[in-house]
Amino acid sequence: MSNFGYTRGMQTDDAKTYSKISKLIGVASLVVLVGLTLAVFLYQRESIDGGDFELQYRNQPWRFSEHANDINILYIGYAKCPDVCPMTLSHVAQALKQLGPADQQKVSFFFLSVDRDHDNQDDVATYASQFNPSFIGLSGTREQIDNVSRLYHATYIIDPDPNSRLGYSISHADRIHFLDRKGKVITKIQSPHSSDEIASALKGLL
Amino acid sequence: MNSRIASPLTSVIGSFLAFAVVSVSGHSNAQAVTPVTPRLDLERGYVFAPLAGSPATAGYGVLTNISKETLTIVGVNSESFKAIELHETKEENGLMKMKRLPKLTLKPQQKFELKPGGNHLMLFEANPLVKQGDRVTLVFQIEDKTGKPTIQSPVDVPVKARP
Repeated sequence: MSNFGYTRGMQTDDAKTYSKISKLIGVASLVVLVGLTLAVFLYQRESIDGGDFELQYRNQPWRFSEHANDINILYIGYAKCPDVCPMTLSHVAQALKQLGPADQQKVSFFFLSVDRDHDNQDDVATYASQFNPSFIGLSGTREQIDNVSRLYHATYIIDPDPNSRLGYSISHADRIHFLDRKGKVITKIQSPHSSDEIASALKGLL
Repeated sequence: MNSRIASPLTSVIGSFLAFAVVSVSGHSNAQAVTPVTPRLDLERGYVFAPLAGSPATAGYGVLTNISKETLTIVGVNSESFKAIELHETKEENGLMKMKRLPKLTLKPQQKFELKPGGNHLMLFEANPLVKQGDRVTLVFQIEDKTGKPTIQSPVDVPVKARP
């Protein structure tokens, strides 16, 4: 009996241990599974680098895919930016002049103002066109702007600056995105940049 | 100044006139203003012509203290713009961050570079007549020894078109 009892006891302990191990394996598998799913999700989210998007041009709906060219340059800033944005728009305008007329036709430039609260859409369009008549100045609803900001990982921060006459300034990346017809990023040029650097990037892509 | 004047008589007349000008300006303005003597230079200075669609433009150059004293710049103004601010742009975590500099202290001969993509003058709401090819006067306000912005130092700069 005692032997039986002992054996039974052993069997019971074994069963308990087995059950514990099974549970542990189950929990561990679940943790690994959740972790992997999260990693894949985050990886996919991080790897989203562009795509089609909607904005507004002079208060009319505007969709990227309907205006996409062979090469599309996207720059995200604001029209009241006195320094970095106009410098970049000048650099792109100068770079385009280094291309032949046929190649110039294959490149479009889109300037997105994230300052929808202060930049009138007509002003953004007029502003951009003074650097080159082909430049398109865009804006949109906050949701549309933030969608583009997410698509291109282009964070912007509106900082109050009560000491300045403008009352705020917008921190944004000084980054030039080169997009294909689907809006996917082919390459990017970070600050500091020059018109020559932009021109050679364009020549390489055309 | 007097060493350039040919005769002692002219020198005396010159000194008298200078004294008279200072006295008159002192009387005509209740708040005494130190006579305008350039204390700052804006080497290769220029401002970009304003563009339609934006009330803001920028000015650049190498600001140098050409006086023999340490200067604290507390403001800039011009008849051609509603307001002018000294700004710095810095890159922080991949973002270009712009902030107003309320004061800038320069030792004698010290330089402060204003260049595109960095420190700059932000100029607001240009007089509509300001256009490419003009020259505009920017007046830097400098603190005196009591901390009041009574010292003015003007610089003339060309208005250039954005390239």
